[in-house]
Order: sequence, then structure tokens, then C-alpha cells
Amino acid sequence: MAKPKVGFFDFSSCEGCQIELTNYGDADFVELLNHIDIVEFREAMSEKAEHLDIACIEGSFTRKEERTRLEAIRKRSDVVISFGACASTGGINALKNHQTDFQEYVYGKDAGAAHLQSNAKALPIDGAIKVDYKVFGCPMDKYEFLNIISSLLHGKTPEIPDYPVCVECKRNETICRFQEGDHCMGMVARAGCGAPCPEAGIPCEACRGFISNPNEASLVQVLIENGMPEERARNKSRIFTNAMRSDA
Amino acid sequence: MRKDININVHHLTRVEGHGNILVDVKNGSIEECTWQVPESPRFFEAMIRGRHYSEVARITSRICGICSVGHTLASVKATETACGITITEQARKMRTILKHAENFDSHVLHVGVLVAPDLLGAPSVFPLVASHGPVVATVLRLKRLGHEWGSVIGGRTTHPTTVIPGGFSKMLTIEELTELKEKILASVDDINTLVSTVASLAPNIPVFDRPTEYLAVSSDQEYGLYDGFIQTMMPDGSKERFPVSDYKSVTNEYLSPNSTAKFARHNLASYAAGALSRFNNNYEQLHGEARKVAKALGMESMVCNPYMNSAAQIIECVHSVYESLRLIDELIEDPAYDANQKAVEPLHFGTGASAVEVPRGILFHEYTYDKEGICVGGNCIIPTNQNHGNIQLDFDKLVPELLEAEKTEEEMTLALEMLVRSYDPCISCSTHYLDVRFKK
Amino acid sequence: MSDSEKRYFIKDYDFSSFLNNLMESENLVGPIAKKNKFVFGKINKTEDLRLDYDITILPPKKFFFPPAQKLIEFDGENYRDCIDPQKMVLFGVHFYDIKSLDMTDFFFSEGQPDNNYLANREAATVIGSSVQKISERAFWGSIGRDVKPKGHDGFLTRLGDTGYVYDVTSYKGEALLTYGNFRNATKEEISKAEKVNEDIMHQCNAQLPFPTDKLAEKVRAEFKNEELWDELAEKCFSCGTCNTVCPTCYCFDVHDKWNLDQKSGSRIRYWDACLTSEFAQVSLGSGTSENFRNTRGERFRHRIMRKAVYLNDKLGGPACVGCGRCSTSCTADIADPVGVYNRIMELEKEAEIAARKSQNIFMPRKAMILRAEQTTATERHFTLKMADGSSVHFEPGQMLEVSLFGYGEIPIGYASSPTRTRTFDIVVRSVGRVSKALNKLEVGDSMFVRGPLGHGFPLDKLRGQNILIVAGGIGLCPTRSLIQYILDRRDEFYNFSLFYGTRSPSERMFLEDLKSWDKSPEIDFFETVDTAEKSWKGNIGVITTLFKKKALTPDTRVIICGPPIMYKFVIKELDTLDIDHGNIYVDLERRMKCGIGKCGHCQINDKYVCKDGPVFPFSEIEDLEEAL
Repeated sequence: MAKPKVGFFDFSSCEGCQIELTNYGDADFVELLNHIDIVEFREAMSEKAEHLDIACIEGSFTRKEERTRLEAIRKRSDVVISFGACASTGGINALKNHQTDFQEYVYGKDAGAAHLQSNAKALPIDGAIKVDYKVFGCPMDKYEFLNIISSLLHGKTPEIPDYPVCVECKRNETICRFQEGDHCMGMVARAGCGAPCPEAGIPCEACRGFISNPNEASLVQVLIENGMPEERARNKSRIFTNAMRSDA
Repeated sequence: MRKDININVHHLTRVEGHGNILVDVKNGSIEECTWQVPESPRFFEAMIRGRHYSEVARITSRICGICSVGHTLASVKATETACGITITEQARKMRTILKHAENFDSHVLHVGVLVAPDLLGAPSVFPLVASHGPVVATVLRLKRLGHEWGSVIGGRTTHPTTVIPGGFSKMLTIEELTELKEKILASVDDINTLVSTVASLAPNIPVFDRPTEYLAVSSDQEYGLYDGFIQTMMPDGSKERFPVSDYKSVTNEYLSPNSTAKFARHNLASYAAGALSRFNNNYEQLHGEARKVAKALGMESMVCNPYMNSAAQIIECVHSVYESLRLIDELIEDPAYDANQKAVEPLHFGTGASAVEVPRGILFHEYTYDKEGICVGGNCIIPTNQNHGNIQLDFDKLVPELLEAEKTEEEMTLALEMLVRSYDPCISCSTHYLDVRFKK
Repeated sequence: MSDSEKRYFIKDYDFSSFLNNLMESENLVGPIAKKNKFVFGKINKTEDLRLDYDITILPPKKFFFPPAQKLIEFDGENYRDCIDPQKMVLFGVHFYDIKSLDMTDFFFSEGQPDNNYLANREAATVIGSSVQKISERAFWGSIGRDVKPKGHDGFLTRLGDTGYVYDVTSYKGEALLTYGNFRNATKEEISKAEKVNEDIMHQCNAQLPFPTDKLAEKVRAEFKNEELWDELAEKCFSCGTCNTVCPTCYCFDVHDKWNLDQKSGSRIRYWDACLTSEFAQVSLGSGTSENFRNTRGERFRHRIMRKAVYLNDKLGGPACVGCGRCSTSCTADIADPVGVYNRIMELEKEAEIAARKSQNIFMPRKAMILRAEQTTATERHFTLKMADGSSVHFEPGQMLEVSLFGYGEIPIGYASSPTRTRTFDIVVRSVGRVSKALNKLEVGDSMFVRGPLGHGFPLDKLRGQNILIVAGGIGLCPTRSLIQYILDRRDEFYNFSLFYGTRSPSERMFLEDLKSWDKSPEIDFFETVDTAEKSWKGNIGVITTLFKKKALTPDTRVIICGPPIMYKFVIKELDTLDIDHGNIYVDLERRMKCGIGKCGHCQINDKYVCKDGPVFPFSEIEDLEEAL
């Protein structure tokens, strides 16, 4: 089997998912390079490739001109993977999607400048092009990414969980945030991360997005029942899932 | 010889975020020489409005993947100031160790993966796997160390989980501290290898001096990173300190007369932030082992060659290793150490600002909360934006020098790219925009 | 293995050296603290072991059927199994978790035995321990109580601070004796230990208010009631938490994973959860799929059906040990089986109410007199059955309206236990026009009844508690219903005392009952009369004098029924014992006509005695000016 040519691309994002690739350590990273050829990766190298077997795209689709760039990548790539929360679900960039004044707020009188124009909403990249597989998470889990690459190397559809984070917390015997007097979004959040946040003592913010059929009404109700003011409860799921809410 | 040179580097590689270099020389005269940043604006200051104080750091951490520890620390510090919280000494030490972990992690990545190819004449780190295998392996091991060192304290290094307003949601046990200490100690050989490799490549670092104003966090207690005043150092070596709450009068964000971009300046037309600024400002407080490395590299405050920022980063790596070992020992030996320590609760809600040194320089966060603890506004000034003006002024001095030295277009391009890279810019951080002018 | 030579005793003083020896020689695992909760984990020092735990987050099945378990490792064409049991001593398992291990042992053994589980199980020595603290949502006291756990090798019962009785049930359990300073247990210690384990069964906060033998049938009958399941699952997140923490859930999914070399890898099974939406989803290719349990209600129903019906058929009882883990862990708080089963039981009542709606609320039904006996000069004791042969359902303390056409209706309390469903008793005192007419009736005659009406004694609050009934005069009639109920279900209650007072021996009722209660070890019965002839051998004095005869604990639940004057004095007495007013229940008497909260006669402030009572917690009415 010829080594597939892989490229990494970044759009509106913090580029943290690409940074995660540098955290495998020497043995794992060098072993990974035995199975894939990284031929394009602006953050680490200057060369460009004509054809890609796999394009990993980080970041959200936020400006009109990005559509052209995305389409060009799609055209020269066999498989497109959205890489991380921003690309897969809109992620944190969508947190302002329900606001109408964000440009004025940040740029004041310059808000009208042409180069500052953004889409009204930050979208996942499948808002612009077809995406074959999604790597969820903010940041993405570097070992889940290895599993997905591994599946693609063998022509197998990657297995990506569609059950909520609660399952993983329970498997870890993590004490539920609600039982600690806190709140959490684990009941509606897609698992696959191994639930590190509740184990570290903070709530799940659903950075991997919602599961397929989130019970949003029950989420609001449970948050209120656990002492959260109503307005905050209604807005709670905006941080990472604003573009996925039923009112998006 | 009068010549035409046209450099148009669209989306400079081996930096975080997107930047362009535009140089247009017609018949030997410079028509254009610009550093541009076309990064998509992301509107973080708008996003945090309406969010609870406990959520704000989780949001602003996402400004930058590589300095997310620094953004998180700056964010919780500003929130703590706004909420009347004083964290415990134990938490302060733990955060300082975490800060060291981030600087170490980022510096290793920058020097070992992004800058090393320039010094070794390679287009990227990937061909170095074959040609310089053991060095690349050392760098990857040290990168992994930085990641694990930060993760054990912060939960993760990309968007840490445990750092919350008031302290930590989870503290290390004494066993975990001991393990961390042993892990760092076990890497000392690798660190020495990296230092000697950089020392051997130091002659390849271009020589270019342009004295400027250097801005950094400074403290009486330690080499300023996590905590301290804002300090400025002028080319004549004079220093002045300002309280963090005055950050706006120090950064003076302004609109450039030729563009609509926000630049920063203080006493001079521009200032520099980053490892070299810290080195110049706080040289005396470097750990002895780090000063030894500085000596070996022939460096002593003040150094005015911006290309030497990468060397200053290596010196800081050594400092972070030994300072952290010292702090870990203090925590382990503290009989009052409490692995179950809870975060301090807010006393009130108001406005607060903070300054933290991230790998690329001084970072400011400021927030205002309403009486329910809901954020009503914020401001983040990131070091890369503070450096843009200084990069531009470096360009203005360097390009004529290169022309004078009759460098080719390729050599000039490399020299300019290397200059920008040496600042280790982290453009995706850019919450403010810069001027963008595309040359057709 | 009940022979007493297999029961040993170890002093508290020797216990930690026993643990130390165990730790040195064995892989010791037991309940340890995780913040303010508990998990089963490795014991590294004796203080780690927390036998005072209430419940662990996950049940012990995780050691035998881990959340992720390698089944096969492969390398190219080569493959091998991964069965590699690790010896361990699993210490401090509560009886309900041992029961759950019995169940998973059965599930993994039936058909083709699954050695991936069974080998791990075989390698473990399981030592049970008595429950020292009860988890808030546990209801093991009322589900499958008759099933004795058997999957353990030994069981430790703590006898206060003195030490532990160690019950050896297998050779593996016997092997541990060498680690500690054990001696044979005395008969007294053995019976104390039995009492400790028996007593705790009555102390769960949560209880199923009905026996579980009919559960499967009743739950099964609601299968098609989609409205019910959608209602129960409305708040469900499909998060699978109830499955994941359940000790008897054992569904799994299997995934293959390659190692980084892309050549070797493993086949791993993971715990799965039927509440999650993808559990029953199959791919139909080209991105489409079919979900066989598509709605929250369907998935919720499946869990309940599986526990209460499908597995019930295999196990002979529900696949639930009452640990309450699902109740505790469910964020939406809908998983609690007690709530679900109660809701299903309520449906029967609702159906009855719905049927009644179309009727005239004053329409009585005919009852035949099977027995009529003049017990005192004024009181006549009837045993009745419904003329149409239907059974009767009521709670002790409820009332019915009894009538004769042309004379009228009067409210009367049931005087027999609802555990006897074919017939019921009432006692009529001749005081007015209706009662006098009724008391002329004989066996074979009929009267007309309407009921049950009102609210009776709160059985769910009385189960598992110390009970005292204070009855004065005719107040024994409604309380007799409760007394019989408790005696019929004696093991569901703890200490049970009855104080009965009358003005004179001639007013004493139910003489045969009094005689049998006096002899019974099941009830501490004390009686007194205000005044009597010399021939009276019993106590003389007002009813409060009986409080000297019996020591009562402050947690006792007290039921008072008698003439109005009696309440004040009895409650004064109870106050000296520090008994909470919320734990005192009074049975009030008022003039009533309709019995259904409409006519207004029995109203006290905003309460209707007939509808809201006649039984009230004293705390609820003590501030009502008109109550007492």
C-alpha cells in the first residue's frame, strides 16, 4: 500500500488541533510518518502538493472568500476530514452567531471596512464543501485522530461515538458535576474524548458538539432545577454548540 | 547595480496564523515593504458578553491553541482581580510551574521544529527526520515532556481544564508532584543536547542589530512570567515600571497614519515583546544554569538582534526547567500542602485586568462583570499584535541593508521570513485586525 | 453453609493486622473513598478500606466484565485470546451486589459459557460485608428480598465496635482465615450478626409499596401504552447512565482497533447502553439507517421490560437488586424503578377513577352480611362481602359510607386488613338513626356501601420503622385494620407496640383478638381500663400510664385513634420522648355526609377530613385552630 499523501489546512481557528499533532512524542510520531506522507502543512513546512489523498481542515468557514479556498482543497483531495470543533461543528466561533452587533462591538467605527467583513454566522466547513469524516473536539483528541487515520488506511469507516459524555464519566467513575453542586452538559454532548473535564472538576461544555438527538428542553429544565437562573440556562449550550441548536 | 525585486510571500509558513510579506523594489528604490496579517477576525470580545465568569477563561483560551495556557492564566487572573479574589500561595506556585511548562513547550516547538529547518537549510522538519534523526527525536521527546508537564497540572496543554477563577479545580497530589519532578530530571540530558545543538548552530543566526524599546512583566521576586508589573527598558538600559491596571497607557493602541491597523507603541515608535524582551529586562533573575547557557551563547543583557529571540527562548527553557524543579521541591516540602485545596470564591464583581508573559511576550486581558457575575465586556491585547509595529520597523531597516549587501531575491525572502519567524508570531491569536493590502 | 463451625469471629482490635496480612499476600480490592463518594479500588493501606461506605459509583462487575475488555489480539494472520485472569480478593461487597454477581454469573454462564468473564470471576475471592450505611436511594429492602445471595466466598458482619462475624461459604473464603486471628463465633455472636443483617433490610428510605411477585405481569400489560412510556421518558437524555451504573446490565459492543504499526491490533468489547439512541440502530448503507427503538419512550420501555419482565422470566424475579445506582445517577431523575413501578401501579387506580367518573358519585353497591356479632352493649361487628362477588381494595385507615335506604348514610372505618381481600369488617355503634337501623341486621341481610374514601395510614412511611399504635375505645376499629396488616406482613416492620385503653372492661372490643395479641411475640401489647371491678386483673389507669411500660425510641412512628380528649395527653407524653410531630399520625373524627369533600360538614380550616384525612400527620394539623 502506497503511503497516502496528507495535507493540513487552517481556517478560522486557534490552530490548537494542529499543535496537538506535535504532542505524540518521538516514537509515535515517527511511526505515524511510516504510514502517511505529510505533504502540505503550512504551520510546519513550505511545500505544496497537487493532489492529496486526505485533507485535514482545521477552522470554521467564516468569510465568503474562504469558500473558494475550501473548494480548491476539496477539488484536489480524495477525502476531506474536518479537523476539530471549529471545522466540524462551527465550534467556539459560532458563539457569536446569535448576535448582530459583534462587528461594531469589536471594531467600533472601523466595522464597515471591507477586509473585516465576516459571514453573519461562523459555520462548520460542511457549510461550504462536502466533508467525509469529522474529528470532533476542542481540541481534537490526538489518539482518536490516530484511530480515524488508521481506519482510513485500511479502507474502513471510522467509528465515531454518538452517545453522550455521561457514559464515559460513569465508566471512569467520575463523580457527576450535578452531585458536586455544579452543572454540566455531558448528557447532550458527544462522547469520544474520555470525559477529562468532569474528572478534572469542571463541567463538560460539549466541545465535541451535541449527540444526534439532544434533549435540549430537558437540558434547560435540569439546569434550572439545579439552580441555574433561567436566562443562563437557556443560553448555556451556546459556547460550542451554538450552530447546532434547534434555534440556530 | 539597480535592480527590481518583488517578494510576495502569501501566508508565511512555519508560523501560527496567517501573515504576508510584501516587498516591491523598482530600479533599486523601495516602493513597498510591508508585513501584513490577513487572519480572519474572530470577535472574542463580543463572544464573552453574556457569559458567566466561570466560563470566560474557557472561551478566551480558544483565542490561541499554542498559548492557550497563557490565555487561560491571563483570563482567570483578570477575572480574579475583577472578583476580589486572592489565590493561595500554593495555587500561585502551581500556576507559575504551569506557566514555565507552557513557555518550555512552546519554545521547544518553535526552536526545534519551526526555526531549526532555517538553520539547517531544510524546507521543514520532515526531511530532518531522515538527515538529523537523533536531534528530531530529542526535540519530539522534549516537546512531549513540555506537554506532559503542562498536562499533569493543567489537565491539558491545549485549552487547559483545571485552571479556574480562584485557583484550581484539581490539585496535584504529592505523588504526582514527585513524579513530575522525576520526569523533568530524567530529561536533563535531552535538554543539554538541545542547548549544545543550538549553540553549534548559533553562527548561522543572521547578524542584524536594531535597538528598540523592550516591554515585559517584571517582578522583584522572580524572573517575570506569571506575576508582576509592566516594565519597559529603553535602548540606553533605563527601566520604568507601571501597574498592570495602566496597561492601556503603556500599549497605546493606535491607528497607523498609513493604515487602519491597530499598532502598539510606548516611548518609541514601536516596542518589542517576547523572550528577548524578557531576557533584556530580567536578565539578573535568570537561574544560574540559564545564565551559564547565555554566557556560552555569548549573550548578556541587552541584546538588540531580533534574530536572537530564538536563542533567548533556549535560555528560558533552561530557566524554566530549574525554576520549576525549585518550586516543585518547595511544594513537596511544604507541610501545609493541601492536595484537596478548593478554589477561592468571588467577593464581588467588577472590572479587572491582568498581564502574563506568554511565549511570545506580554499578554493583557481585562473584563467587566455585572453584579450577577455575567461578563459585560472585555479586552485582550496579545503580544504578536504588539510586535507587528516592531517587525515593520525591522523590515524598514533590514531591507535597505540587504539591498546594500546585494542579496538575491531568494536570500532576501529567506532573511525576511526568518526575521518574522524569529518573533515566533502567533497570528491566530489576533483578536484585533491589522492592515491588509494585497499586491496584485 | 449454615453450620455454626463455619462461622468465625475476629475482634476489632485484630482486624487491621488481618487486613495488613491480606494486603501483603493478596491483591486486595475493596471500597475506597473518591472525594465524598466511593469506588471499588486497590487497597494500599488499611485506612483505604472504607467498610462504612454506602454505595460505590460502579458495581463490582467492572472487575470481571471491564468497561473495555480485550477479547482477541491479532498480528497479521496470527491471533490469540486475551484471557488472563488476575487473582484478587474483592473485599467488602454488600449483599445486593453479591446478588447482582449471582445474576451476571448466570447470564455469562447460560448457553455458551463466556470465559472472558468466568475466568476473572473464578480468580477472585469475594468477601461480602454487612451494610453499615444505606445509600439514600436504595430500595433493596423491598425487591427480591427472598433471594439469598450465594456468589460470595465469605461474609463479614460488623458487630458494633467489638468485631466481625466471618461467615465462610467456600474453600476460598476459608483460606483467608490464616491471615487473621479468628476464633469460632459464639451462638450469641451468630444470632447478633443475623439480626444486624435482618434489621438493615427494613431501613431503606425508598420502598416498593407492593410485593414484586406480580411486577412482571403488571409491567408487561403496559407494553403498548405508548403514552405512558413517552411520559416517563420525556426528560430522558438517552445518556445510558442508568445502564452504565447498573450491576445487572451486561450488554456490550465489539470494536476492532489497529495498533500504530497498522498490522497488529485487538478486538475489544465495550459496555453498551440500550438507552442510547444508536444501540438498536443498523446501517442500511449509503448513509441511511434504521433504528429499531427510535424514540426515547421505546428505549426507556426496553430497559424496564428487560429488568422487570424478560430477565424476570429467566431469573424468577426482577433483574434488579434495588441498589438505587440508577436513581442516584440519573440527572433528569427519571430512572428510579421505584417511581416507574409506582406509576404503573397508579394506572390501575386511575383506570378505576376514570370508570367512576361516568357514574353518579352517590351510587352505593350492595354488600352481604357474612357475620354479625354484638361485641358490646352498643357495638355490633359485621363481616361483609360484596354482593357481586368482587374483591375489595382499600388502605388501613380509609373509610366507607354505609347505608340503608330510607334511613340514610354514615361514614365508618374499615376494621379489617386489606390483605384479606374477599371480605371486610366494620363495627357499627348504635348512636343515631342510621346506626340503630344497621345494628338490627343479621347474617344474610344486606346493606349498601360506598368507598373506599379518604386517605389511610401512610404505609410507605411506616415500613421498616418502629411502630406504636395508641387506640382508645372505639378507636380500635380503624386501627385494627392496620394492626392486622402489620401482623400479616410482620417482617416489613420493625418493633411493633399497641396501647389500648377503654373506660371499663365491658367496653373492650374484639376480645379474641385481644387474647391472641396478648400471647403473640409479634406485638408488644399493653392494655388498660380507666375504672374496673375487683375481678379485673389487668392495668387500671388512663392510657398514658402505659408509656411507663414500654421504652420507645425517638424514631418511633405513632398512630393515635380515640376520643378527642385522648390526643392532647398522648401527644404531651410523646413530646417528652422527642418524637417528631411529622412522625405522629392522628385519625380524626368529624361529622360527615358525602365522604368526598363536597358537603362541607367535616371541613377543618382548609382541609376536609373525609377527603384529605381522616388520617393526618400531626405536624400538618397541629396549627389548625379547629383540629384538636
